[in-house]
Parts: sequence; structure tokens; C-alpha cells
Amino acid sequence: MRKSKVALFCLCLCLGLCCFLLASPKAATAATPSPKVLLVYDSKNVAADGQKKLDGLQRLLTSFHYKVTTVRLADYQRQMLTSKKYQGVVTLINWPEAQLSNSAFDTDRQNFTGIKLHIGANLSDSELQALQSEPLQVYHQQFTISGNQQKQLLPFSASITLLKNCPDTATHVGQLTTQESTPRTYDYGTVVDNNGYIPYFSTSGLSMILAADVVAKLTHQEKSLQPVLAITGVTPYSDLTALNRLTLALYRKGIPFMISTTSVADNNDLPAFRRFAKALRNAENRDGLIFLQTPTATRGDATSGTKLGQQMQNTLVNLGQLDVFPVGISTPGYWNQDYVYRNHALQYASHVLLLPNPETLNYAQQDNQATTFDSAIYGMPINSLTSTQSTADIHFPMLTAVTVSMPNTTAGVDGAVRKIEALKINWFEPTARSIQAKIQAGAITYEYNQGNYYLNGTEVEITENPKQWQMPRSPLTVTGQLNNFFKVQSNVLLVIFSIIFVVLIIFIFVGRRIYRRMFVKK
Amino acid sequence: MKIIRKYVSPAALAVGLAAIIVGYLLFWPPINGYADNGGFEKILQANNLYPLHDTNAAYVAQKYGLMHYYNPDFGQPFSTQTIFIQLAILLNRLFYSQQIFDIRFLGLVYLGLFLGGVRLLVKALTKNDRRIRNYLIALLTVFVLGDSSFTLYFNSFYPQAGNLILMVYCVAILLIIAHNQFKRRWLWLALYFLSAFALLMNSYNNKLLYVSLAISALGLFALPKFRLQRFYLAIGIVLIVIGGFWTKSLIPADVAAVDHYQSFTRGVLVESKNPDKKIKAGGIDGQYTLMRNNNYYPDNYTELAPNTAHVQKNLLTKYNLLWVIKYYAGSLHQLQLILNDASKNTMITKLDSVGNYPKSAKKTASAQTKYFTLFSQFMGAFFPTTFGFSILLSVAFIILYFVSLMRTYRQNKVQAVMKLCLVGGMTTMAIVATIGFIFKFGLTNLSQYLSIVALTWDLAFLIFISDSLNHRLWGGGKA
Repeated sequence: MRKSKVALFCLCLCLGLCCFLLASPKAATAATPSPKVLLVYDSKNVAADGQKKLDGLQRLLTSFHYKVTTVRLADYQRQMLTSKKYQGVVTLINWPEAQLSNSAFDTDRQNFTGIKLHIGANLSDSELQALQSEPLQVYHQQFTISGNQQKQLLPFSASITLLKNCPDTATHVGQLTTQESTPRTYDYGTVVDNNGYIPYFSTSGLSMILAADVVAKLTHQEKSLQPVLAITGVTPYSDLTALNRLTLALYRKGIPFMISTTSVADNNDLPAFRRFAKALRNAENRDGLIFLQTPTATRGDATSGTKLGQQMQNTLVNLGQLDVFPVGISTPGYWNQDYVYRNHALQYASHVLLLPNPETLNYAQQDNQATTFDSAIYGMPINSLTSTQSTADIHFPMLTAVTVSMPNTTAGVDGAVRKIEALKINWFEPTARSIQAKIQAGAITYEYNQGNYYLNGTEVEITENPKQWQMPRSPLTVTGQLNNFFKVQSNVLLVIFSIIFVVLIIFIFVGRRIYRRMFVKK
Repeated sequence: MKIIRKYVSPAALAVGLAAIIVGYLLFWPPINGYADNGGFEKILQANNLYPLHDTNAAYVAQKYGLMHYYNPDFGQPFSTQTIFIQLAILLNRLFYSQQIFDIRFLGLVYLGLFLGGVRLLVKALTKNDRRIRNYLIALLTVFVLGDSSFTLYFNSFYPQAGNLILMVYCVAILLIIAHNQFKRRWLWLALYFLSAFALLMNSYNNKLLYVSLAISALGLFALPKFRLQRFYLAIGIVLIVIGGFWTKSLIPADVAAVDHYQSFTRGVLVESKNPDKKIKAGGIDGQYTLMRNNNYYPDNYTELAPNTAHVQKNLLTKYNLLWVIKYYAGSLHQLQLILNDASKNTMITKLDSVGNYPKSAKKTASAQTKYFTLFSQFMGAFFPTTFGFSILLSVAFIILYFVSLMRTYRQNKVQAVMKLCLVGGMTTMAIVATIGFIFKFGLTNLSQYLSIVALTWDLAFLIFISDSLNHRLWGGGKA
């Protein structure tokens, strides 16, 4: 009897374990762990907007499915970088004039056998040796960068380190041409075996695309993807007429798009929320995909994770109730460098749109251990492409979103549409491609698969007026016995005082008459 | 009892008791006070002080740093509170430290002023009479004014500390003049106007108090042998009114933005099922109704920060006092509901949202002290919670003192007229200030802002009780 009980228990345990393994999505992803890369930077050099380059590079590497660990050169300690722990190392020099160095890093980097990429000046001898080239310093020039049949003028550069006498095995990406009467041409990106070099990095524009090509070549992920159009900065307080006009115009012109929008966790009972959801539903019905933008973090607080998770879940549920099903989450890049933000917001989604950082960053618990997603889309502002020549057949080695800020006037909408059209880009069409996106938060799962939406596994049709809509509920009020007592008591007092009030007025008149009678003779 | 009556006056008894009760609360470790709810920053900056640690609402910060170098924000904007704090800093520098400021010195300054106020008030209420009933009045005064919900403000940088103390002074001085207790009347008149100005200047939220201070001062015209001085009196009252408006202009722009935003999200938008239409009629996009109950400084996360250009342009620049008045004029039912909400909080004078202990006391976060809070608990539980009641109570008070005026007019004209004006001013304030605070702040931090209204009611009750016990109300006493 006892033995059979033990056997039954074991059986149950095994069955449970099997179910758990089958059901757990993490078990599936754990089979192919993302490669890891160590990003070492010398300084943020905020005066030269170096922090933006750092953020851009982090996002770029994430979109190549690399788990990025970021460390400052001065904080680097011996044996941080080993071939066992990392598959790649990227060195970013933001402040070449400072000539910052760390001998422990130099040694470890030299011994490292994985992919090595150097961005910016100050190449060490060992790096030059690995690249089998010699440095060439070029001063006071304005370059035109070209590659992939595109061209773009770069800002003036006081000094730039380029490579010469490269080996025949080297692969070059893009070219830099001077603006002189007899133009000179240099190679932009260089790849020699496992080693790569990029002389100048920008977070957007053609130089970013070519830098991404270098990364693609180094990591053997060469693809040719069209960009997707993303409307960013939409909030429930945006001009909804303008939003409708924009989505309709894009739909009529056959331009597929994504919308990155914030939404509210409370107040979903108000008509204003219904109007907002309707505008988003219209966008969904016009071949638009909704990405839920993470909220603005106003105060860094490591204990705020639960609150954030709750807010994200409520926001998602509120939208879902009105048939707005976000397919992914959009967020500024620094949220991926933060433990709390990653675990209580970003990891709900399989698709994440990584946008440039705002001016002020509020970390909750910064750890610089970025994670990867099924798809991390690199966000790049449209303005960086408007100065690029012949963008028609532009393509990227990774998923990229060209972002347009939501205009808040009808004139602004028309201008934005003209700007988008002028690029003549052959846009990526998520509905036509087999895109599978998923958001899982709490008890709800939203899925998107080839143009169809699924709520907890059931397909849903998005209509003009969703039937799931429940009429606004009045907020719950907790009324205890004691409260009732005080309410009654306060009403009783009110009545008593009213009576006293009336009686007093009568007394005044009666008193006055008596007083008068004392003196006035009849 | 005889010995007590021989050696200790009711005023001395009240001062002694209040000193012990409040002193224990403020100075005996662990000290008590109100923690920072985010409003200290500007006041600290204006007084050459800075927080030593990250201040928060859970724990009282006992020590602050004293700035050493030039501070362009010193004394900006000007307020009476600055004078109190500077006095405390002076004491701190003399007796404690040049680098660190201990908040207990501020508590000491406030306590000193407070005891003066208690002494004056009890003197006025009892007219220095030593019958047993007047000792009871003294005890009652300590029980009411010494309540920790008021005195905890002393160990904090909230302007409410000064407000409460100066209000006691204003009322006490007018009573003393009414009772003709001292010879040099001009001195007391000057003192009244000084305290009234100090009260108006204590915080830029006090502008509305000018109504009641001016009404209360009207009774001074009844003073005898006063023809020549009436001119100066009129000037004083006009100055109070002007002072009220001047205080308004002192509000810094960023503070005004916070007040505007919260008066919208926590006032205009609450207690209304569908505020859309009326807001649109006022030229503001109906989408902003989604900001209902939001704070200007959100706890952690927000869908759109209120200080972004978008909100500033589309909401805050369109929103002003005139807009609010127009809005509420068209939504009287909503205003009534909001006023009832406010009335529920009027007598709950204790700030529950912030802690009362420093971190060193090893209490849980936001721990509350129960010490000497019986009166505020009692009032919080039993004071009726509708705004209509407050109005009725005001009318009842005014009628009561009007009848008293008619009955005692021949006996003591001055006293009767002045008391009617005083009570009239006080009760008007309870009504006007409540409405004013709703317009200005919505339902934000009500316990804090409405504490002065609560105190006004308490003082009115004290005056009424002392007048009744001493038979001054209906005549026949030693009036």
C-alpha cells in the first residue's frame, strides 16, 4: 500500500515536471542562448553627445541578438573579458583626446579569441596588428559617406583615424570621400577575419547603416531587410483627429506602419479612453501595428518594479478590452540596461522597439546587462534619412524602424506624410510577412500571427465597435457600517440645526416685539 | 484648589501644561514631527538649508545642512516663515553648530511663539478671572490647541505651523481689545495688524484669509474715543486687502503650475461622471479627462509627464482661476459633492500621509504617533461631514452673536459689536477658505490646507464656550 503511494507520487511528480517543461516558453528559448558581447567605452563625453553613441551601439548590438554587458574602461577589471564568457568585444572611443587606457583590458582583449570591434580613434598596436593595417590620420575634412548605392554628407571632422595598407583578405564597407577639388576616397568600415574597425559612429543615417553592415559581416548575420515605418510619441492626449488623418493617409497610400503609444492604467471608464481606443482600432484596421510605449519614469526607485508591472498589465488589459492588441513594447534604449525595467516591462513582449534615449534618464536599478528579444527593432529618426540621397532601395542588416514623431496639427500630418512619401522607401510589410509576435503579462496573452490577432489563444476580429465593451462602471466605494452611522448622524444633526435655526429666527422677531412693547405705549 | 487659585492664573496653568505636553512631543527623543511630502525643497533653498540625506515622506529628517556660500534663492519668495526659520538658524548657530541645522531649534521658536499665543488667548477668554470655570476653560484650550495634529507642524518646514500660531494671535488680540483688558489700546491695535500681515505673508496660499481678517477688524470701528484713529484703522484694513492680493503675486511659476494641474486633475475632474463636454466648452481637449486623479509629480511612472511642453501648451496655459470659476459656476452639483468631500476632511487635521518619526526611532515607514491626539480624533469622528452643515453652523454662530449684540448692546456695545465681527469673520473664513482651497488645489493635501479652517472652528467653539460659561453671551455676567 505504502509502496504504491510512493510510486504514484513519483509518477505525478514526473508528469508535472514534463508538463512544466512543455508549457514553459523559457525552456524552449534556453536551448539556444544568445551570444554575449562586452561593450567597453572610455567615457560618455556628454559634451560631444557621446552618451547617445553608447546608447545607439547598445541598441544596435541588441537588435543583432547579442546580450550586451556595458562597462566603462576605468571600471574594467582583469579577467572580465574571457573567451569563455563572451563571444565578442566592442571598444567605443568617445573621447580620443583623453587617451584613456586600461592595461588589464588591453591584455585581456589581446588574448581574447572572439569577435573584436573597435569604434573611434586610439587604435592600439595590437589592434593594428590584428587588423594587419597601418593608421592614417586625416585632419580637417568634411566627408561624404557612400555605400549601398546611397550617399550622405557627414558633419565636419577635425581629426579622424583611417586605415591604410590593409591586407587583401580585408573586406571594406562604405567609403568616405573628401570635399576637395580633387576628391580623395578612403574606406569606411574594415573587417579582417574576426576583427573590425569603424572610424566614426553615428546613431542614425547612412553611417549607422554601414556600421551595422560591419557588425553584420563580423557576426555573419548578413541580411537585407527593408525598414518599417513607426509613428512615435503618441499618447492618449495626442490630437486624435490628426492621428486618424495620418493613419488614413498612410493606409490610402499603401504604407504599412507601426504606432508607438503610451496609454493609461486608470480612468478607462471615461469616454475619452473610448475615443482613444477607437483611434487605435482604426489604425489596426488600416494595417497598423500597435506597440505599447513604456511610461515615463519620473523617479528612480528599485522597489517600484511591482508597481510598474501592475501598471503595464492594467494598461494592456484596458486596451485589450476595447480590441486594441499591442503586438510589442516600445521603449527608450536605457530601459534595457535596467534590471527593474527589463523584468517588469520589457520581458513581457517578444517584439521590442528600441528608441533613442530622452534627455533625462531615470533608472530604477541600472545594471548594464541588456537582454535580447525575439525581435529587437532599432529605432532611427526619419530626419537622418532625409539628407540621404536615393533612399528608394535602402535596406538594413537588422530590423529597423524609421520613426516619425506624431504631429499634433492637420498641417503637421500632411507635412509628415509628404516627408514619408518623398523617401520612396519600399517599406516592410508586417502583415504580408510571417510575423509572430506575442505579449504575455499576468493572465493575458496577446498574439499576432500573419495579420491575425489572438487573445489567450482565441482569434479575435477587430471591428469598428467592439462588442466586448462594457458600459462605464461606477468606481467601487467601501462603505462600512461606521461610515453609514456617521452619515445618518450628520443628517440628523443637519435637521436639528435647521430646526434650531428657524426657532432662533422666530425668537428674534418675538423678542423684538416684546422689547418694543416695553417702550411703545398702546 | 485655593492655593492654585492664589498662585497660578488660568493663563499660567495653560502655558505650563502646553509647554510640558508639546515640549515632550517635540524634543524628547525620539522626536516627532511631520515628514516632507515634497514641499520642503523650496523653503529649504530659500533659507540657506539643504537636506543631508534623500528626504522622503516616510521619516522625519532631524538634521539639515547649512549652506556656506552665496545662494541666489535666499529669501525668495519672501514669507514670514523665513523670519521664523532664520531665527531658529541663529539659535542653532549660537548653541549648536555652524554646519548642521537641527530641526528642534525651529520647533523651539514655534513653541515659544505658540505658548505666547496660548497665554494671550486664555487671558482673553477668561479675562484673568480666577473662578474654577476659567481653569476649565484653560484646560480645554490646552486640550484643543495642544493637540498633536497641530503641534507636529512645529518640527517641520510646512507653513502651517506659522499659520496656526498667527491665527491664534489674531483672534486672541481682537478678544483682548474687545474685553478692554489693557490700557494701551493702540499697542494692541498695532499688534493685531502686525499679526494679520504676518499671517497673510506666512505662505502664498494665505491670500484668501484677508477676507476674514478684514471683516474681523471691522468691529474695531466701534471702539470709543476713536474718531481720529478711524482713518488709520481704515488704512490698516485696506492694507490687509492689498496684502492679500500681493501675496498672490509671490507664487513662483512652477508652484503655480503644480497647483493648476492638481486643481484640474483632482478637482475639476473628480465627482463628475462625464466632465468631457464642459471641459471642451472651456477650450481644453476632452482627452485630458484621462488625467483624473494624477499628481503633478507622479509617484514613479506616468503616461505623459505634466511638465512636458505638450501638456503645458494644451492644458496649463489655457487653465486659470477664471476658467475654474466659470467651470464650477456651470457645475454647481459637482461643486457641492466636492465640497462635501472636503468637509469630510476638514476636521481630520492630522496628516496621515507622512511619517511622524525620524528613521533613528526604528519605527515602520510612515509610522504615526497617537500622543495627545484625542481631540482631533474626536472631531474627525463626530464633526458632521457635509458642507451644508458648515454653512448652517456659520449662520447659527452669527445669529447667536447677533442676538447677543441686541441683548448686551446697552451694557457693552464695543464688546458685542467686536465679537459679532470676529465670529462673523471667522465663520466666513471657514466657508470662503474651503471653497477657495477647492478652486486652487482641488482635493490635494486637504488635511494640510484645511487645518486653518479646522482651527478657526475650534477657536470659535472656545470663544462660544467661554462666553457661555462666563454669562457674557446673553448678558447678566460681569461683562
